Amino acid sequence: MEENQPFGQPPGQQPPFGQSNFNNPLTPRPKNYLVESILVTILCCLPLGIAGIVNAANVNSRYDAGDYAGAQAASKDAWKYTKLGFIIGLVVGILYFVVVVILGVGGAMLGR
Amino acid sequence: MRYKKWYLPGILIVVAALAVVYYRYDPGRSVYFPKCPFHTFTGLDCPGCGSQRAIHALLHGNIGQAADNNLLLVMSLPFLAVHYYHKTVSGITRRPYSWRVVGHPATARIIFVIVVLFWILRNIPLTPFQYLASD
Repeated sequence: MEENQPFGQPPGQQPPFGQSNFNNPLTPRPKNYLVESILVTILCCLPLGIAGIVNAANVNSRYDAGDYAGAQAASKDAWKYTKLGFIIGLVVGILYFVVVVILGVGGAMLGR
Repeated sequence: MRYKKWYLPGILIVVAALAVVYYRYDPGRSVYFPKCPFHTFTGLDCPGCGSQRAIHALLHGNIGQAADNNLLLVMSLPFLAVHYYHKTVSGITRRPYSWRVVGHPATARIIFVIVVLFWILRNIPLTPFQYLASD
């Protein structure tokens, strides 16, 4: 992949935090949310985590193929799935806790 | 994406609070911890099953028990550690994140294969694979 020869980074133009430009100084490699997807897979919501990992792979392969718009789209999808996974995990966890507490209090009031 | 000011301290506080909860209470014995819906309905383990118990074991320094509950979680720890080391360095020095492994096209594919393989293998009720199951 030498079609994007780095031609010297212009001074004072650091890419935003969390992104890096390995082989194209003008279009930084989009964030692929790989680590976040792994965390979602292991900690809560498996299907969304796997969707995140697949999109993370797409970000990298499309970027290296020169498809910067496709890489951006995959990055957006990856973030969408990991964010959804975190939110669903959080909401389900809290709901579960609340339901168990309500059932426990209800059971105690019924004299069990 | 720029990080907002509350983002990092907020996450650190939540993680610290969760660590205290998971240290003091055993998710395997307490009813207050959410159970995996996939495991509840199918009786099978998903790749994340056993991770709450594994975190409890890890916080007590019991890596062997954690690996027995969820090997994937224990295996991912070095990867996560290197990633967050690089992220911290990049945040402090304000230079771009520099760990190329995360940006390599093969990395995400390999991890995808590992997750799917782990999911299948840990549900095979035969001797070498039983150790991968969550209990």
